[in-house]
Amino acid sequence: MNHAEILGSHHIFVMKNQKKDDAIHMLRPEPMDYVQFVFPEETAYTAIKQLGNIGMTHFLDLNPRVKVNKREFSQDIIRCSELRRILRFFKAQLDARDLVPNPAETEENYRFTDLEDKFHTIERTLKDLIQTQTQMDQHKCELIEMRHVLTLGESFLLSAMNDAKQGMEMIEKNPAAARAMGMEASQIHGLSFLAGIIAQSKIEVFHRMLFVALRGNFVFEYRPVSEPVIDPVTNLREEKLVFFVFFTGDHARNRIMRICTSYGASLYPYPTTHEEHTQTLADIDNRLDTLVTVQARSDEQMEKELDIIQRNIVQWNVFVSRETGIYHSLNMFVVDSHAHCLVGEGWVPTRRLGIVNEALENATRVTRSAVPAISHVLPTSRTPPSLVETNKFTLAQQKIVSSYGVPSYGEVNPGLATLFTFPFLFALMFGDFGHGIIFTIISVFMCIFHKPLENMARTSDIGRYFHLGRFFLVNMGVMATYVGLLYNEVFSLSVNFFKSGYTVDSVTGSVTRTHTYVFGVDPIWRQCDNYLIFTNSMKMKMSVIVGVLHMILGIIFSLFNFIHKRQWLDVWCTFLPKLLLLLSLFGYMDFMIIYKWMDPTGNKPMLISTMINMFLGAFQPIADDTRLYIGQEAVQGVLFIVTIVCVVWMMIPKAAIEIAQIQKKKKATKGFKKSLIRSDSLHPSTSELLEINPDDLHMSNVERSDSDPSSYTPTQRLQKTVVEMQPVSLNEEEEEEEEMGAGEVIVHALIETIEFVLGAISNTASYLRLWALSLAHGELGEVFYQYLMILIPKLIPVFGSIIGIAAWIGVTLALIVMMEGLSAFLHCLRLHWVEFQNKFYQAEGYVFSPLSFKIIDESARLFIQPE
Amino acid sequence: MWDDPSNMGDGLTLGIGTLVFVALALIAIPGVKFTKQKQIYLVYSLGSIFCMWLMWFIVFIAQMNPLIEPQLKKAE
Repeated sequence: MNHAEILGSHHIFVMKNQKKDDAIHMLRPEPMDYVQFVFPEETAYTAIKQLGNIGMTHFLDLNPRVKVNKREFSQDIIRCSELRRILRFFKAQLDARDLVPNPAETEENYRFTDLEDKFHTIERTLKDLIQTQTQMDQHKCELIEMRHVLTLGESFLLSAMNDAKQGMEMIEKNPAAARAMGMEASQIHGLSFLAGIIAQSKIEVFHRMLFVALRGNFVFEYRPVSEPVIDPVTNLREEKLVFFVFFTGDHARNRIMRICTSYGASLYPYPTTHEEHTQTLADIDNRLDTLVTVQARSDEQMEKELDIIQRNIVQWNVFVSRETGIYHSLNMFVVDSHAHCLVGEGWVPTRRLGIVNEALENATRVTRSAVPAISHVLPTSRTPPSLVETNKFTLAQQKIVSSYGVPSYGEVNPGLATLFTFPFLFALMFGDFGHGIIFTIISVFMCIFHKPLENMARTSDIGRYFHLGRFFLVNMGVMATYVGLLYNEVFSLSVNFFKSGYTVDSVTGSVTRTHTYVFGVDPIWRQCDNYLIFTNSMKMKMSVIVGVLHMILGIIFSLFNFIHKRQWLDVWCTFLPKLLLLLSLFGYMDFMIIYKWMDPTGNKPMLISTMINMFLGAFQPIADDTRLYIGQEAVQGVLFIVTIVCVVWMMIPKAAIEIAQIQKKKKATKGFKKSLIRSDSLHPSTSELLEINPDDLHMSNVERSDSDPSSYTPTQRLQKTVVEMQPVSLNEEEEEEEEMGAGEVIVHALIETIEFVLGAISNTASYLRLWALSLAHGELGEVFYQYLMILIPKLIPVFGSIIGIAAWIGVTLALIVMMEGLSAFLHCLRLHWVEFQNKFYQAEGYVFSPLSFKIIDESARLFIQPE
Repeated sequence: MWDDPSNMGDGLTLGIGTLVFVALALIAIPGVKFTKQKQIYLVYSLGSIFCMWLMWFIVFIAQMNPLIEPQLKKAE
């Protein structure tokens, strides 16, 4: 990783010696040192910031018993959370309008308080804008509805008024006739009306309700509105009707108004005179115009704010996430108010100690502090976290290994070997030249066009896996192509690059053999009936050979582990018998396979029976027709004895020695216990040393009161703290003596032996899946070729070839490349995780999780929660 | 068994083939100085070359002394 890029601008100066040691060591997790940091109060924030830039410090929480909300920097964290809430609100606003963050690439220097003010201002503005916009929208809808009411109402209200006037005239002129028509003056004079607008869907029920409520004593008229209207309350676009209700009396009026509210009908005041009508209409139009202008302006302002957000939100999120990380780490420190310093502890990879110290120096220099921020290494017996550095090529592979289990500190990391064994085993199962080429081409495209792939990776999990693993897939594809060439399968057909070793006499049809085909399986086999018999035999034996070699590699890794931990007993009593057992059983079988292949003249006995007879008929003479080589009885006899001896060797010596050790320890501690006052005198717990009261954040150091503390200079005070303090963290992980009784030891040894011996057989057989999958792959390809490319064109005259080819391409891509690829990947994974790793891998480590701005930035940029 | 004439050609091919892979490995080794990640490069390149050689070797010797003869499919 290029540190110069991570350490951006502003206070941080470029560290010059970064590039000295960037080599990745994958064999074991990085050696770690336990470091104690002592920061003066004014430097603490900057120091942590520098450390975060490097990302190589895994802090330990020194205040585990203190509640999160009562720590020193909890207020700052609360403020950060508030900012994050506002950022989420901003992001939601962008998302609601389908706007994408458009970050300017400049690195900016933010101050926390400035950002807080800015955020609050923008949030308030946005909320106000949103509120006014909603109000304006509602108002606009109402105005539009009112305009509809006025325009439509005009037509039939006038006619109704005319009718009323005519009625009045008639009553005056001819009361008798009017009475006959049932019109009374009082009726007409007392007539009032209400105008409103209602959704078309509700008109029937509304009418009925009115009828019931007014007992039929009303006139109800309605006209549909020409276009759908947006309802101001529900914001839906609906078909509406303008209605008029004519009634008498105030009681009826109240009833009508109540019914209107319950059916969502809006009532609007209707002007009585013609002049009022025109005036109101003009008024409405004016208001609508103003509203539109105001809305436009408010939209503009909204856009401006959103633009600011769009351009800055990513950097803001990165900054706030970093601040949160810094304060969380600061909270893990112990505050010593007496010496005005913060003390913290953490893990740092040994070869990064230099840059960590440089970072602290920088922090001291930047804050111009008189007291330096210092760190020093403490000896400790606790287990460090495991860090395996990766680059983009090895990342995928290491992630796969770590998902099984994180390598324990100090043990061999399978990821290194997996780099070349995984593609190889995958290729053995996927071996087909054509499919391998397709696979390689697809993955090469993924590598070239990794930017669009990255964009896809932001949203989907599968995209992320393909993005991470693109180099790895190229690897697998290339190997698959090579092995496919060796299997001589190109889309399940054979190629003849070199001269075939068999010549067919065209007359007699007999086959004569001249030489061995130079590279791969002879092409003649594809045209043979007994093709499968030959390839099955070859592939099965190949699987077993590869399997035994893979397992031997695993056992050798276990040797590395034992040597690294100086467990000599295990070297002699676990590693050696295991290796010898595997070699004498299946190593011998591999030898016989190879011998049988390479021996031109001798017998070709069945190897299975030979193996069985090695045990059942040991030390008995071998019949001539089942003999593979001269001296076979002797060799097999020796190996048989070795096997038995190994089984016993695995079980007994180690158990015996361990039992003896336990007895010795018991005898030793019996006498010692009486003279022991305190059992744990080496590591006084921190609470004794510092009188930590969990509810009180600031502690006093009583032990240091030998001389007047105020006479010390700050540096001296710090130095005293450093020298006299033991590891501050509460020593909760004391090394446990596994008090195993003799019985447990015996059972343990028995189980291990049985597991290994049976496992040797079952694991070797498990490698036969290499054969099984490649057989399935070949057969699948051949079947689809036979049916789609040969049979269908034969059956269907013209379109058969087109259909066949199209179907064949589809099947090849979807079924054989994708599905078989996944299947082969899965089985390869299983072979690694079970058969290979159970020879040596403990996987009891925990991940090194540093305060790293690189990691924080990544998730901040994508607005996803950090893992 | 090694002086069987029909096997001389095969033996030669075996030798030359193995030499090809050894040459590949010898070419790969000096490439170490072009990269910072020496451990990964060496393990990966030499491991892959060994696997490729192993595969070729197995397929070759499986056909050197065939246990069965190819029986051509009857022409339709």
